[in-house]
Amino acid sequence: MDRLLEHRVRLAICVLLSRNDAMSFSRLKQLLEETDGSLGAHLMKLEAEGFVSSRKEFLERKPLTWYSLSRRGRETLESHLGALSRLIRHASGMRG
Amino acid sequence: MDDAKRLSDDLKYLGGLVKRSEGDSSPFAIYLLWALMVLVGFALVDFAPRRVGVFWSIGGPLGGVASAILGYRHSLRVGQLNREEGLRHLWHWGGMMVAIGLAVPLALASVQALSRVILLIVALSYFLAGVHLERPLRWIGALMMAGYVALFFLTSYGWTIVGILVAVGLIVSGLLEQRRGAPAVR
Repeated sequence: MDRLLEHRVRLAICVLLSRNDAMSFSRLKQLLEETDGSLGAHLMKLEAEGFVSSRKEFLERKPLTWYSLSRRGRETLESHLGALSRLIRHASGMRG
Repeated sequence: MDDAKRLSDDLKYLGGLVKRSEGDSSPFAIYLLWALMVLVGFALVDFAPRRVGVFWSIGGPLGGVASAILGYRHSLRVGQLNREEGLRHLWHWGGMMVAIGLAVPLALASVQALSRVILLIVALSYFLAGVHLERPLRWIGALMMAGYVALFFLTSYGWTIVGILVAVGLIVSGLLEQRRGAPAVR
């Protein structure tokens, strides 16, 4: 399990980005219902670890920041989700 | 036990997020574009049958390209780019156009029969698009199928009437989707 992805907002960011080529800051904010500051801090942490990459551009003269999952981020997410599903299987086995 | 509960909550939260992120439909402009195309293209069968082939052979592919551009611009405005979904649409509607192209030789037997076969192909394509790509298109597909059946009974201006019904259906669906959908963000 990756410690950085143990926080559900960071995990959610990576899951959303894994299902899309790129998402804007505003779209992530809308879906995650986080404040600018909180979302920005999570994205910075993910970017610092090399899990996500960002690029800035202008759309109709307004600044827009796009985020994408890097190869490293995708590999880490896959292994984290694998560990989670093993944990769930283990927990179900203990209950059953 | 707390960890198991937290894990289960997190998975529910993730599932809900993914569902919401994928619920966005096409922009109203695409619905409106095809409502206008259907309105003119269907009425031509009644009023200027010789121009139907030219209208659809040029207008169909052009409308497809315009829809792709409108869809891409909508994705930019929403702030979510998904090439795989774009390709799914391309394969779906491209497949429909190929099927229509393969049906064209039927015109040698009967232009009326060809028009109806094309309507059936389009109806099925809309219906399946509603199942796999965009929910409201199911009802448009069903409406087209009803129109296909109605054409056996409507003796005059049948295509114009079906065209108006389908165009109204497209506009209403587009407006309802626009109202239901999340506002565009950047």
